[in-house]
Amino acid sequence: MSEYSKHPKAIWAIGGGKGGTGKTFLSANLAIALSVERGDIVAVDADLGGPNLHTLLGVRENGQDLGDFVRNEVTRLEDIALPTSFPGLRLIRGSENTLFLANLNHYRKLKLIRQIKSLPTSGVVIDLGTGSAYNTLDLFMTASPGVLVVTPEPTAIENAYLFLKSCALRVLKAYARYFGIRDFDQKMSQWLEYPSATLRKFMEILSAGEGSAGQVLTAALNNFKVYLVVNKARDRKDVHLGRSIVDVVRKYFLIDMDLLGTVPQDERVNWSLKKFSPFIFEHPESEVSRAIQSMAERLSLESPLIKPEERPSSQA
Amino acid sequence: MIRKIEEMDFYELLNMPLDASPKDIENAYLLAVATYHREGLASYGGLGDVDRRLMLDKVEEAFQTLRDPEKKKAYDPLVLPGHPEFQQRAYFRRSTSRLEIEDASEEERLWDKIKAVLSPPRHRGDGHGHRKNGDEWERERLPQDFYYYGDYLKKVREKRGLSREDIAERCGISPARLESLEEESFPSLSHGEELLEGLKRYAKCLGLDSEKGRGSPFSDRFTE
Repeated sequence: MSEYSKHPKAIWAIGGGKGGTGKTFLSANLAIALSVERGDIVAVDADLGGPNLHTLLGVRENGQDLGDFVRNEVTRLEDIALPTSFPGLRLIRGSENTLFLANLNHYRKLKLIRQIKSLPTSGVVIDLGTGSAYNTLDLFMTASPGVLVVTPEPTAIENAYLFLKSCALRVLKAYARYFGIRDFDQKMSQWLEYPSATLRKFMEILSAGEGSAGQVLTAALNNFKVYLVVNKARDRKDVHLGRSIVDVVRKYFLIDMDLLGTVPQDERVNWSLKKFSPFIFEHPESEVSRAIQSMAERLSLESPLIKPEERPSSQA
Repeated sequence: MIRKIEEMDFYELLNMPLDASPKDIENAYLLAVATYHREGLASYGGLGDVDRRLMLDKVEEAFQTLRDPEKKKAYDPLVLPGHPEFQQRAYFRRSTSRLEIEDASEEERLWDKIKAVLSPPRHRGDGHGHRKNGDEWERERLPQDFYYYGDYLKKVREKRGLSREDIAERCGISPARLESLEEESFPSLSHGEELLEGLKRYAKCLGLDSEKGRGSPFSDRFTE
């Protein structure tokens, strides 16, 4: 059993509603940067619709994938972690089987989450697919923190808010069920009928009516930590966009969001894709790579690696 | 209980501390307008028109109040209770002739620590400590309500004609950290203990170290 297996590890999930924002690009490059930063990272391709993290990491050979694990053909998730050409980074491939989603029922999803949490490694990077399906949301919320990727386009931002709103409602629903808050589902359904009503407004009403239960739900939202990355930024205005989105989210979604970084637009990204070589490896001195390295450094610092000798169990 | 947007104070609205400079206030205002403007990308899909306009009105009101020194002066005391971090900026009260502990927890034993750093035992045969040379003499001449506070160290540094960069180069403390120490800026220094350690190190760099007394890396002396 590995030294990491019984201990809490860092899990970072890269998500965001819209396709094409660069989630997989960021996942691949962030995973490499984190593996340099702290070693022994596992990247999980959880894009349930169209996995291609392996392509960005330059892994061409086929092997067992997440589909095999979900179908119970493999017992331990760790057994399907493939080595990559980057020391300290392994990859769990996503499934290209169209039945994969159908097979990922509630029980199997919980099993997947449980095994991700217990992977014997120093950190896990989960690359999520587009959309706000429950499975995607649950994997995003497994992370601590989740990283939301947007590009400076209205469609990407709109989808990102929808994604956050869906996450927030899932958090609220879980807490409401746990604390036995009556008629929560009904109240939520009524509120959802008004698409322009903000989550803050809903929470104001809920807090006024539910007293301490309302406060518990607000605290649950406040404790939901999300990082934002603005990708493909072209100018200074795009750099400020990140701070603006964080302000809207903190004020109107009551989610603890922080800006992780801004990645500038770089045409060479497409070339690196065509060469099957990760960008951070091809152009380590570029602004894009430096931005990603700085994000990796911050994420790693906030989830310090626990050395075996510092752990209580090893002292026993 | 969640407060309504209308009930947020102007500093919360603009994401600023109470001691924000006029330039900070202007920048925060411009960013808020860019965020909630009709053409702004950031609120697209996240906010309806009614909420967006309400926020813009509040932002405008906040800016018009905070940009005007008179209005700001009248407004600040009204919101001070909502900003506990500005009601007490240090563990110690400076206004009295001796150091007093305010809200310092027992566990931290800050009083003992600061005494060890700031009020070293006097040398034997030194009588009442009226030495007329070296840093011991200087310490005796310090006003009692200064001790080694950040602003005192700043005063010493400035009197010696040293820039923060000079200190940074010789003592290995970054200029930004020196500024934090001088301002006793708690947000960037996580705990009182860290602040104390930083002040101690800074004082040592200025040759005011309690253990050595002399042998400062800076030969010039501070005189009041």
